[in-house]
Order: sequence, then C-alpha cells, then structure tokens
Amino acid sequence: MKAKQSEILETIKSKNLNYQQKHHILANIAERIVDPMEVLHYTTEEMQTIENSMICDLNEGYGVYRPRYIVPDYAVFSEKGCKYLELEPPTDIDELLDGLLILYSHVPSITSFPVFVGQLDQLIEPFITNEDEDYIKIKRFLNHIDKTVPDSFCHGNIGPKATRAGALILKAVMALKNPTPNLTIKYNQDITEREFARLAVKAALLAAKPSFSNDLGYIKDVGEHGIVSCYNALPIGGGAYTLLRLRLGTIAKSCDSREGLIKEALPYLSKTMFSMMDKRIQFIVEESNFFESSFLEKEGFINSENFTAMFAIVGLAEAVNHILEIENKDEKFGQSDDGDKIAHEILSTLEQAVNNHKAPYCERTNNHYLLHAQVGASLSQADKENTPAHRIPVGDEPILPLHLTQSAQFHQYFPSGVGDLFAFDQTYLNNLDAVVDIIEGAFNQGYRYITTYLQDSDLIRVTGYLVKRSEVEKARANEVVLRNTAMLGMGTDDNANVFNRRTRT
Amino acid sequence: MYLTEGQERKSMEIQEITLPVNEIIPFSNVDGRGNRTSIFVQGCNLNCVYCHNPETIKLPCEETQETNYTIKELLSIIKKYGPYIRGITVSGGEATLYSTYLTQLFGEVKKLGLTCYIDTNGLFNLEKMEALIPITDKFLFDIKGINNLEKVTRKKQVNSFDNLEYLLKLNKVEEVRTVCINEYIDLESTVKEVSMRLRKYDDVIYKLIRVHHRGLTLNQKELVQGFVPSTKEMVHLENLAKSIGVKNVMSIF
Ligand code: SF4
Repeated sequence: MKAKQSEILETIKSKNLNYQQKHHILANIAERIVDPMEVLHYTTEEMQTIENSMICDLNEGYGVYRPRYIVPDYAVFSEKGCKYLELEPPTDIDELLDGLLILYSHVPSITSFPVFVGQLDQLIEPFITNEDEDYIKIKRFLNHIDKTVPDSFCHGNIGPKATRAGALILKAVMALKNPTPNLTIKYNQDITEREFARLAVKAALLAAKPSFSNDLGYIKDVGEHGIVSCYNALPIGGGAYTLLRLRLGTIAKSCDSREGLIKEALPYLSKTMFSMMDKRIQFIVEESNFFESSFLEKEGFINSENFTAMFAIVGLAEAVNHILEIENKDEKFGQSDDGDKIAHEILSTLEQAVNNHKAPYCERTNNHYLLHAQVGASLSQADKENTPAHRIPVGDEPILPLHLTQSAQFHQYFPSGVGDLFAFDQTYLNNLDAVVDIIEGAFNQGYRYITTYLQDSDLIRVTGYLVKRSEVEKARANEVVLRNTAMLGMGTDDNANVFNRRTRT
Repeated sequence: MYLTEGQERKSMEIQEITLPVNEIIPFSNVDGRGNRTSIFVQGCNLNCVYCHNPETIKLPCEETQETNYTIKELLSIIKKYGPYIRGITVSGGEATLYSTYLTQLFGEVKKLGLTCYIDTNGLFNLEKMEALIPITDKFLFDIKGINNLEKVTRKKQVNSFDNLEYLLKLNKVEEVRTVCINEYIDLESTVKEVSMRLRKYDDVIYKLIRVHHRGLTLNQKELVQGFVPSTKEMVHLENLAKSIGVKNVMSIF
C-alpha cells in the first residue's frame, strides 16, 4: 500500500515501538511514499488491484533497493573469509561464529534483518573440537542472534545427516527456548538417522523448533536450497526478489460463479500480479544497483543468477467456501471432497498461469516464478477473510489423520514453500517415535513441510514464525517489546485465533 | 466347487462376523511404540475396581453402545490412517475374547504393511489363541497382581503368569503393565515376581501405573480412594524393579 505522509509522525510519536522498530518503519514508509506509477510504471489497473485488496504487496514498497529474501552461501566465508569486512577464513570455532555474526549484520532483506543464517550444522561441524566447550559457544552464538536479530523471520537449517554440531544446536535450542533463529531440519528418511530425528522431535515439542522439511522433494524442485524466513525454500547463494500474493478469498467473493473465478478473475489477476512482479524485479536488477554495490555478490556469497521470485496465495479456504456456497453445497473446505476439487481447480489454474509466464531474471528457476503458499500477515481488514495459504481455518479442522491427508494433496503446487502445523499434547514427549511416524507418513503423502509444537508452551508458532505468548500479552498491553513479530502475532491471533488451534492428542 | 450347506454357512459367517467396538482412536501414542490406531472392543472377562473404561466391560447386550464392524468396514477405516501409523493395537475391554475375528483382521492388516498389537489383561485360554498369537506382532500385557486378585478384578480367575511366560519366550511382549493400588494386592511381591521374569528380556518395558481417580465412576472412586500409592512408594517400586535387573521401567503418574 502507498504510504500516507501522516504515517511518519504517527510512527515517530508511537509509544510502543522501540528506536530500532521506528527506524525500520520510517525507512519502509519512505519506500512506500515514492509513487509506484512513476517509479515502477504501475498502471491504474494494477494500482486498483492493490487498493481493492485482491493483490497484496506485503508493504514491500516501491523504491525497491534490495531483494526481499537473501540466502547467502556462508560456506564461502569458511573457505575464503570476507575481504570487504577484512575477515580471514576462520581457523577455529570462535572465529567462525564471530565472523558469521558480523556477516549477518550486513545481509539485507525486506525486514532489514537476515532471513537466513546458514546451514548451521554443516558450517560448524568441521570446527568442533571439544563438545562441552563448543556447546557453550554455540548456545551463546544462538542467543546472540536472538537478541540482535529481533525478528523471527530469521531462519537456520540443519540436517539431513546427523552431526555433532547438529545435536549441540538442538540441545542449545531446547535450553534457550528463544524465538530466533527459527530452525528447520532438512529431513530424508533414508539419510537422517532415527536417533537424530527423535532428538529433533523432542526439541520441536519443547522449543517449537525445528520444523521438518522434505529434503528430497525440495531438491527435486528447487535444487540446492535453504529454508528461510517462515518456511520458504529458495536457492542457496540466491534468494527471492519479491513476493506478492493473491488474496483468493477476496477475489472469489467478487465472483458469482465458479466459471467467473477460474476463467476470468484468476487469469486477469495473475496477469496483473506477473506484470507488477516483473516491474519490481527489473527495477532491482536494472536500476537499484543492488548487485553492483553489494560485496555479497562480488565475493560470491550470492550470485544474481540464483534469484527467483514468489507468486503467493492466501485464502484458499475462503475462496473454496464461497464457491461451495454459490453452488448450494452445505459443506466446508477441509471436510468436503467437492471443496478439494474446487481447490485443485483454482491451484492448477494458477500453476498453469505461472508456467506460461516468462519471468525476467529468473534463469535459476527456468524463467518462471515459484508458486508459494504464504501464511499471511495482518496488514488489512482483508486478511481477516483470508486464511493463511492453503490452510483450513482454525475451528474447521478435521481430525489429524484426515487433516494430514486433506492438506497433503495441495503441497505439490508450491515449490517455494508450503507448510502445515500441528499442536500436540504433552504425552507425545513419551513417544517421540509417534511424531516421527506422523512426519514420515506426511512426507510419503506428498508433504513438503511440517511443524509441530506443544499446545501449552509459551513459545508458539503463529504462521511460520515463532512468538512468545508472554510477549504478545505485553504487546496487547501496549508495552514496548523486543520483537516486532510479537505485534504480527497479536494481529494474526486476533484475525485467525491461532493460539487455539486444535490440540492433537 | 460346491460347498456343503454347513461349509457354506461357515464361510458366510466368516465374512459377516463383526467386532463390537466401543471406540476407535485414530492416533495413539500410548498403545505401543510409535503412532498406532487403537481399537477398543466392547466386553471384558474381568471387572477391575479401577477400570478406566468401565463402559467397555459389559459384553454386548441391549444396553451397551458398541458399533459392530465387519472386517471390511474396519479395514477401510484403518486404511485411511494407514500412511501415518505403524500399526494397530486392539485393546478393550478384552481383545482376546474375539480371537477368531482378530486372526482374520490381522491377516488383512498385515497386507497393508502394518503391525498388529493386542493389549490384554492376560486372562485367556492359550488353546483358543493358537491361530492369533503367531499373527500378532506384540502384546501389551497387564499383570493385575500376584495375590488377592478377586479383590481387584472382582472375578474368580487363574493366574496369568504362565501366559506371560509363554509370550515372553516367543518374544511377543512389548510391555507389561501393573496398575499400582495399595492393599488390594501385595505390590512389592507383584513387582518382584514380574521383574524376575522380565529381567532376561532387555527390550520389554515395565510400566508401573499409579492408580488414580480421574475419570472413574463415583462407586469406583470410593473403592480406590485411600489406596493410591504415594510418589515415594512409586519410586520405591520403580527402584525395586530396576534393582532386580529390569532395564526399561517407567512410572506413570
Ligand atoms: S481387565 Fe482392563 S478392561 Fe477389563 S475390567 Fe480390568 S481394567 Fe477394565
């Protein structure tokens, strides 16, 4: 959305934002105050789709001067150090962790914080010499990230192979119970050792991380990748220029027939969104001089050829429910075979559109954008009517096995990321294998990504990121909080009641 | 080939026999290792004072509220959960009352690549289990106690240790459980007796479950109240089992 000048003073005077948060918001306002029609050459029709909330640009702004998500290949640092930052290649774990922390503060993103901190276990493993001492260092390192990257869209990876470093990271995660960095274990039934899987499940239950990604599935679609931000799978040494999303619920409600949605609205809005994405990318690559001026590009941490962009959706549930209603079917998405059929029709229409559009500067993904199931944010009233991604609205969920089967069928559409999350009860701690069974079962059914946590823990997963319930309560009481995601969590809970997700017992 | 009338009736019976089921829990993490679908049958040959599913005790009659499933019907439910589970556990009531049905069901479930467990109170006639035992992967075996069993189970019965011993030798036991209730049974001797038998079997879990009154009927509560072992007593029992050499002991409160 275009910014209003009044937002500037409002931000400056805010009582519940800290200095850094104000700083970021002011910068964002600046990006949104420039005229998209002038800078990016958006058309009136394009502007209209933003104003009527059918397309959401997630407040990315119009003076785009860096890619949305950057996924550096930090292995470059282990090998060559960093000339720009005058860092020699690390010779021990201290130099490695210290160097990484320095690097992180120079990795831009849409949030200004790094959304990817690396394949941590692989980076650290060669430097492990004394597990007891190294554990303390790793724990301090992770805690440092939590306090200096107060934004839960920051993500590290471990796996698929078990390593000493991986086990120490999991141990530290359980001890710290911090929201940041978020963590994913790249999981491969044939490679990930069972014992390591159980340890990961234990951490997931006690500290709401790591999540589990289907490594084979993503390698097939994206190649060498990192899981970043919420759960986005993006090429290593690259990233995503931009992410815009279609609010399918809002779009469907403007249609009075299934035909109208599938044959007219979706093709038109996809085309409009493609055009906006194309323009944004062209601006970043051709005019912002980001790649020319970044040491990350110069020194090989990233390569502009590894960038792609994400064509995202939210509100599949509402779109389907609207069509079911028009067709006089007294059923709801999540518990309706007809509903699933409509959902497939919507998603395959979009899939086809994406495959037919030639995307600029996206060689890495065959000149196409990647479909993405975005988990949402609370940026406008319209978000209340658009359940995250392809998910079933809280309250309409079927029992767990049926829920898994229902959602598994849609994961295929989203190569750059999709995920479901399930809250479990305490008893699973006594039978970690039961959770591993569920995860492996889900992957065998086509799942790409699955997250679990304990329903009653303080740390809870909102959509893709983590917040502390206690911080959200502080934010509700208008107190200043460290992490801006606590505010987003509050908004999302208000919209979607996510704190009351069905517990799986 | 023509079947005689008798044979024909028998083959039809086989197809049509049903299992009285009180409840199906799609995902269970307490009925054996991993994630399992638990099927609770209606009907039990005992009537334990602390029974947590007292509604499953009565054998099917007009007042009970079970659903009768043919093998085909039950299989179609199991298939839905199949991708996420390691197998099924038939529990009760008392599963072994339905050994003919279960033998057939398990034959079919195995074809799906799933394992089949039985949760039993141990009071069954080995002869009647001849066909079922080989096709059952593991048993979860309840040992009620060593003495005074009429007091706990309110039925006259024979000791089930022989059955346990038999299954242990076949390597068919995954866990043994004892609900710990003071005075009704001699807890120490029971734990000792079980532990002596389990110590040779490293993989078998021994669960000591403290009796509790959550979820019991009023009448049951009265019978149980005052006989709940203290945490200290539970720890003592756990240590006792360990000292005899049981590798996997778990107290459940
Ligand atoms: S054996 Fe089990 S099901 Fe039967 S009465 Fe005793 S506790 Fe209840």
